[in-house]
Amino acid sequence: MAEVPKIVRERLRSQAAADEHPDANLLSAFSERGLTEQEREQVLDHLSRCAECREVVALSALPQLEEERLVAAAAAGRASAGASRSWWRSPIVHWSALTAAALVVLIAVGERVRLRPEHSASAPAIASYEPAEKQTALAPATVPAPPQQKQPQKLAETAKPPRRAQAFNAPQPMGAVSGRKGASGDRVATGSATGAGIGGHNLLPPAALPMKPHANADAAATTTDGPAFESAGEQAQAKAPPAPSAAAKASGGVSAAAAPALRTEGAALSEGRSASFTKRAFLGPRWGVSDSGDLQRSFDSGRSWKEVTVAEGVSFRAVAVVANDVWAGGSGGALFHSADGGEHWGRVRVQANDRTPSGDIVHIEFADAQNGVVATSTGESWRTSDAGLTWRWQ
Amino acid sequence: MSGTVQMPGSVAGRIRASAAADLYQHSHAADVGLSEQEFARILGEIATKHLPAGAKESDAVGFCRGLRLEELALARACAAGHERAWELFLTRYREKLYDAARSITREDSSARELADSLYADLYGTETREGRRTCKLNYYTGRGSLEGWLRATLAQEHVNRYRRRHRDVSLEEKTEAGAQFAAADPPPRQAPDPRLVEATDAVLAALAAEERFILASYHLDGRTLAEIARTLGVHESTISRKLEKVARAVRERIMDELLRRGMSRRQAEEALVTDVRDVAVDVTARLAQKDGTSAFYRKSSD
Repeated sequence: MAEVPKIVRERLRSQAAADEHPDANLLSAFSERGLTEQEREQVLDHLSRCAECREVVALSALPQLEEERLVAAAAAGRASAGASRSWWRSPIVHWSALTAAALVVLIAVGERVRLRPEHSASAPAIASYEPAEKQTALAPATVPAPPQQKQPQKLAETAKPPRRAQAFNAPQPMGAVSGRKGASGDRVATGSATGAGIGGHNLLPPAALPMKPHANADAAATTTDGPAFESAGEQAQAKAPPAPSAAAKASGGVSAAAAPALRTEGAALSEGRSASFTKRAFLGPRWGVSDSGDLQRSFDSGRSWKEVTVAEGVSFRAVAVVANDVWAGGSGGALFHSADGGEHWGRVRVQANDRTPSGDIVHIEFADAQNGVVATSTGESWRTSDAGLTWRWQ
Repeated sequence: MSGTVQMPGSVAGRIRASAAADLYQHSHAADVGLSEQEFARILGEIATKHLPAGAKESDAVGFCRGLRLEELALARACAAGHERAWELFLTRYREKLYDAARSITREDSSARELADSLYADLYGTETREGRRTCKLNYYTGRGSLEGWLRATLAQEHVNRYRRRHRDVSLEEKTEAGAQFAAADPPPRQAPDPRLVEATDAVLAALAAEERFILASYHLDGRTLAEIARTLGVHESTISRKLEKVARAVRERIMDELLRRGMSRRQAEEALVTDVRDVAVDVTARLAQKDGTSAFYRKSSD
């Protein structure tokens, strides 16, 4: 990052704001992108000269995961529009396919050259397929080792990432990459929703309606209204494949949450998609719950597991994974969500009006990042269509 | 209700009864015990505070529609002491209040103390002129009630921090080792006033957002991601803007210095001068700009 001359820092620091500060209403509306352009300019001008108010805005910022959920919910409308477009028309898919095809050809040619003395008469189709298989099978050994599991993090710490420590292009778990690129249409739709949300532009109110409040935060505040979100979620759900079961107990005392993703990938393969996508799904972390109620993650296809500390005092009973989104639930109706492959976690409040889950969460199913169901030990079923922002009890 | 509804204040003026009834219905104020007249009065006060004098009826209605009506009704019903409203408020916001306090203080006992303190203010344990003062009366519905609670908590936290550091006794300072502090540094060399003038001119010409990004990154040490979240853009956008502004600031200061009679070499040397050599008249800078009058004093909150 380009440095500025020290005199610039010093003069910036010495610019003092007047003694009148924007009140909590304006600061919160600023953070929620609820001000008119003129008001926003005024607040920004003040903030640029008032370290104290900058601190207030930073301290009162939503925890990152919660904000991402709000952004995702705001983008739900566009996601449904995006889902109506054919996913294969996305330029990302086009370029990915071209790159993959070029790689396959290059590897095939290289392998043919290497094997020419023994297999000079090999059929081109076989020669081009086998090296691809070989390469993907060897990939785990060549992939850099995943970072060590971080120390247990309190939920409060997720509110603010360490300063300057957050990499601009943070490495993503391999499973997330393969999940998004290689998944079927619903995942692509989810990816587009997240992508739109990351940009954050969807949070800005329409220019023609400067006074209009944010649809996303309104949805957060009301549990009964919000037909736009409802219809978007249902539309996405209608297009989504049946939700996989994620919490089936596997031998060794863990539930293999990665399995549904693999089954989905397998279905994609049967439709004639590239085999490399399926293989790469194995490189992602697997998630499970131990018999003692600990959440666990494996980076080596289940050979070894490491405990992931999410919250004290919660005995986990179910976990589900969709691309980079991990959902874990357990005792007392506790539900947690990570949007970054388990690096940071936030607690999700499952409630509708005044009602909350009456038992432990024993089953979680998410068809995509938005649509999911959790079931409790008392037979309750809670459904969300907006990535856990609001819930419907059934 | 027929005709028009008189909203107090010169700005809001009169709005059609049908529009007022519509706002009242959308707010669900009746569910928490607020009458239509009470709610119209509240909207009138808020509109008067935010809209310019002479605003049209359509502007007032549009502004009111943009408010968080349901949350506003809940907050004001709590302030008015309606029991049902308090039940709802506690159900929806009590846990969020403590969670927000925890995320601000990063420590459980301080968080509880901070949240309890705000809760007392929200409930209105103090009386002024015989009337209970409730902080929820200051919520105007511009942002979400949850966001307002977080911002209010953060303000209180910052105020406490400032008070605590101002109130540290001399004994505590001595215990902290203040008596071992280094002697006053030798007098610094005064910077070339042209450098200060040029820098100030360039900073003043920047857009508010550019100054905010510079200050957040270079003074506060915020990450790109944090700044991006505050401004609602992707961090790559902040990265690009930061690079662009840093380059532009340097080039413009150079131009300003050249225009003020420096040679290019002198200007370049001046820019790399260690800031420790630059004596800054902070007092003079405090009077540099007047704040905008659109804001309200924190004490009123």
